[in-house]
Amino acid sequence: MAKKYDVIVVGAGPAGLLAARAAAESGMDVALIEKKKDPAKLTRACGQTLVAMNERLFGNLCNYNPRDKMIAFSGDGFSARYDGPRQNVYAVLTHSPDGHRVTLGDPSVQRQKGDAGRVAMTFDKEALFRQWLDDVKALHADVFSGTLVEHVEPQADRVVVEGSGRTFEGSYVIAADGVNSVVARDAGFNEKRTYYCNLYALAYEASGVRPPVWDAIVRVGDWIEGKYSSLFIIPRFKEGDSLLILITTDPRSDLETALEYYSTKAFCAPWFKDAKKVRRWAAGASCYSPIEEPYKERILVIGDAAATQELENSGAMLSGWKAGQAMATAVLEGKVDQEVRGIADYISWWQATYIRGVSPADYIKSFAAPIVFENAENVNFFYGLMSGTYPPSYNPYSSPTAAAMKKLVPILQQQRPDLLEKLKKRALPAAQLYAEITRISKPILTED
Amino acid sequence: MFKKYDVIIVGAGPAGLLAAKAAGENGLDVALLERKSDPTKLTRACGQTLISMNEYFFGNLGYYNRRDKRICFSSAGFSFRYDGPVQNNYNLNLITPEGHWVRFGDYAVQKAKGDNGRIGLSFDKEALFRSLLEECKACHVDVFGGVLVDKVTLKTDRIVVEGSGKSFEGTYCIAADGCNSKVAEVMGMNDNRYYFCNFIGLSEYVSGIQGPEPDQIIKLYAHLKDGSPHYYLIPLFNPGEFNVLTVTVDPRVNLDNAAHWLRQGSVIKDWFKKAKVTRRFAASCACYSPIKDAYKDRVLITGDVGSTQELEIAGAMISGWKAGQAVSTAVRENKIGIEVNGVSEYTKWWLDTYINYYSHEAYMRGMTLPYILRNEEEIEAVYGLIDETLAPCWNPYTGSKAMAGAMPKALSLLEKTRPELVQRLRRGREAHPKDLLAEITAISRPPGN
Repeated sequence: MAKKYDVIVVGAGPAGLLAARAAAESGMDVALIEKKKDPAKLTRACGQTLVAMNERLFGNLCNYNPRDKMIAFSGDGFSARYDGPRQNVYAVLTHSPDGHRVTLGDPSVQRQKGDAGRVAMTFDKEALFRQWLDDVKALHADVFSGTLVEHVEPQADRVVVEGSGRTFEGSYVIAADGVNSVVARDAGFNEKRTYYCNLYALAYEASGVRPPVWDAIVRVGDWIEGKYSSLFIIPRFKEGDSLLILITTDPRSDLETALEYYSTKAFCAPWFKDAKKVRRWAAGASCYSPIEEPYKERILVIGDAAATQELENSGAMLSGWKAGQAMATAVLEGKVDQEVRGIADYISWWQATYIRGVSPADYIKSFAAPIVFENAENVNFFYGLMSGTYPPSYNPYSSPTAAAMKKLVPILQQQRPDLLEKLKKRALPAAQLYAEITRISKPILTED
Repeated sequence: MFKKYDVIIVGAGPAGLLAAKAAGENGLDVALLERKSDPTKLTRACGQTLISMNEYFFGNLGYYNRRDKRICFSSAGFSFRYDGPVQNNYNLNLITPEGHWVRFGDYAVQKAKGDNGRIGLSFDKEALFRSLLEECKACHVDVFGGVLVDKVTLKTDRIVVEGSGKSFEGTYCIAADGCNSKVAEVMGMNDNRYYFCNFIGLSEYVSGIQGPEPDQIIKLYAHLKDGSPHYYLIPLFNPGEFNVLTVTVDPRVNLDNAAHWLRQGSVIKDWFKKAKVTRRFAASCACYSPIKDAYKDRVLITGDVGSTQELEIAGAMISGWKAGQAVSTAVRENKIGIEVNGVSEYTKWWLDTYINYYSHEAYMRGMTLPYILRNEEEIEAVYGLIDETLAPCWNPYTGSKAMAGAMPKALSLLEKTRPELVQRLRRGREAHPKDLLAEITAISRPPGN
């Protein structure tokens, strides 16, 4: 007969690894199930960045302690070791198609403050995976790789989890299988969600990249053959080494063509004169409204699996840790005959911190520039008015330019009332804003 | 010039050690100051148990993960290593002067459940100190032994902490120097507290005890010539070995004589025929009403410092961890230059979790029994009536609830025969403990005065 686990965690990303560690530290019998044959290998495009390190996000001021090599979340009171390479990010530079620039944070000022001046920190996700896998194994969690979970079957006192010809039984399941979660879909959690679109990403690790500021996040966006995409240049661990991430919500967009354009024809082409591609990843993410009630029938959906596209790495880590502890609490409550409130505590945290604490709709709307502006010339004009330096921030939920944008209203009223009208579209509900894209998109069911 | 620390933690008990570990993990420069020259040595009497393992306490179901040797608080979301000896405690038994047992939890039933049936867990505090100190040092906490802090001075941007001829500077200070906290005293944080009495105790490791099961807790009350002590036998790690605690709030009680009486004159004296005392500790704790505002002038209080006598070890651990994390948040907020919320989040937690959730009056009420039932005959008359097994419980705040279920039956029997006892028991439930302890308060003085 199969071993019955206390907790089965599906997915060994940042959320799943921390859920498994938290539950195992608390003495639970944990199975961690991962689709990839080598769980330490990164196979999907990812920014590999901890965002919002100079402001609170999800109740925490995320920190990296370089002395002891720990990623620390003091708001929720836990940390996780990470001794791989890292790079502070001091500013965010966003460019219009013709090169006008909006800068969040003065890089030289922020750089001088050192760690206290960073807005974000990049890391190597494979190094992180390796360490966190070691941590969970040291805590006696059973790790099953090469297992794609396809079906979960709730029963009265357990859940049966099936995939890749294997069967597992556990008291509870934590679904941490990411943005295109099979568990969430199979267990019916997606039925009440609004589907917006997909976010497609293509990532290259590259060397010899020379953006205007290397230790900043540098963004460029443009319409290429009529389809919008944007390029993020994210610093890696030595000057010139960058992650190039192209993203689009338009299923007709060809991201390889876009990269070719940015690196050879756009205003930013000189940055790529000596650039060399080192490694390639792709990813597609279904974007839905979030899961507001992430628990039913012994299944708790966490991390990106329950979010609009993503929670950022730090949100995934937080929700993973919280979920692992909540499950441990629930199991212990069952064992000593106390009222079970561990899961309810997690749900109220999730709703207070994510559903109500930030605006998931604003998150998806942050990709709506092409829908709002409609063409490059409008963006150029707007960035021409906006160009300048604003408070340091790299956080999808905060808008340090909002005050400046408000001041532009009278100018736009006078010079470009048509553009002002277009900008008002941002107030539309996400589903309405994305209606055109939604029509030509369909949720991603399986990748690879 | 001095090194300026981010936080200076005064006291390396469970609260201080966990505060230091939390702050160290967050990258803070931490100084941990301990009065004892060897911080791993236990010098004060202590029950050395994690209580309330089957009930929520301080918002957590405390748990010991035997497999990975970790003490876990899953609601607060942290755990830490403890690889010393442990012993489950399966029930608590109050033995009356004539030898009647009132049981909190059926021993056999609880024991059959194994770890899920324990109400408490005995551990070795010195082993805990050793492993937590190791964890603190691993995250670069500077530990200073032999420093008795007796002066704290607030400067504009820092706090200066002095003692034993040494001086330390820090952005914040966490006071974790226990129930007789010098830091709280010199900061004036005791000024608005109500003083009840001192809780004094003698702890003796006794081996060769024959009688109780090796994993049950025994409690007795006595009325001796010089006053009223009570006793706990808490299992240690070898069969027949117990931590025997002789405690009282009455300063007139001679604890040595009281401990001797347990072995020579009490109803359980036969258990001690072959007993040997292997180690002894004493302690005295000032009992005040708690400190409501856990922060003043760059000082956060944690653990027993701000509590009525004690928070139990679990409460000290949780509040220490929270305080260390809170200071980490505050230091980072300062460094980045954003609004500082870390400290107020801790003070709010302290209010919600301790001050507003637990009744310190109920805690003190637990010490008033000898002044309600004033001799052994009266104790027998009441507790001798309780035959049923009460709920398994080892928690100073809910223990009276476990007892409350059995009391109406006992009281109705006593109503006719001993109306004066019923009257007094009622007063014991309703009167403020400061009134119940008034005669003790009158003859007591807080340590240091």
